[in-house]
Amino acid sequence: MIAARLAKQAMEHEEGMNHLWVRFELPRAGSIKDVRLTVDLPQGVHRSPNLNGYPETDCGAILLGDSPEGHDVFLELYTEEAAACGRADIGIAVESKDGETEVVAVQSICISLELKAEDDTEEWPIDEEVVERVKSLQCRLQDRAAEKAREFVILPPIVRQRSRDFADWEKKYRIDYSFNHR
Amino acid sequence: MNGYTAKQITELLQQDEPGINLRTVRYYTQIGIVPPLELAGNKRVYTDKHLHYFRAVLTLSKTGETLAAIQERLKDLPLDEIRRIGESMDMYRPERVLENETVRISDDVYITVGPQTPGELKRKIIAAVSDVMKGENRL
Repeated sequence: MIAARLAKQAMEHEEGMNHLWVRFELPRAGSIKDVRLTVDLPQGVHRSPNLNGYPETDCGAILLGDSPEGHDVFLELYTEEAAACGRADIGIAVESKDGETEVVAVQSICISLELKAEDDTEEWPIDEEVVERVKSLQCRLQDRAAEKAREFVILPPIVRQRSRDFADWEKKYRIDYSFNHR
Repeated sequence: MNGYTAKQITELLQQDEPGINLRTVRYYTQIGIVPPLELAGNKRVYTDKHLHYFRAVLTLSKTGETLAAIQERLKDLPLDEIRRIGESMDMYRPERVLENETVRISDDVYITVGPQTPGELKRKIIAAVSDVMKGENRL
């Protein structure tokens, strides 16, 4: 069974922040492996890498290993440029594989998030339990999105095809040419 | 009373900590990490008090504390203390931690010297403060 709660039911459609707490349990019968969580966010809503430190694939699937134990996963959601206001759905799916039959089981739910304009006069109702959980996680005020962008980028080597013959200018300037070919 | 919008207070905080952004300022206000905003007319505004709180939170966050622990530590402190904690933020910049040398004179007195201070002067400062601590005031 999956349960998901947001720190704020509504968040700013521009420069807003929120947290999503996903909790689920898997059937304990049989062996389970390759548990993964995927979160499908509305257009314009982004998320940082999960706050629990689980590995993630390039496509954003969170890899939770082979444990059938209950899992709690926290995600920081944010908006940057103005996203469309209104209600939108967050899709959450948990996949797990049966260790013997290799059959993949999928559970999924959908929760609703409202995106709206910031208003100086308005209070933003919060879910205290989610917020208390978030506060007890390690504090990092840096912009995680910007931090991610600063990570190393591995560039593939550039391989140029060339013939074995030296061009005239190469013969002239190549250091070993004059010794070997004089 | 100086009144700031979320954007203005973010810009002030970014002078000390470039990693902070508008959404973090808004969110930390909403979840009660800083005191509730004050009313100026029909608008809720940030004041210098909030600036001190944010600086103190940023400083303590560099020590690895959780937000819950930071909130607990700041809960009963007077504003002067909050301001003092915030003013020490500069000491926790990575470059400061890497370059500065902190010498423990006693359980309660530490001297931090930056890389621009020549070795001889550094020794004199440490000796002078040590002497003061021993009751032999040579300053």
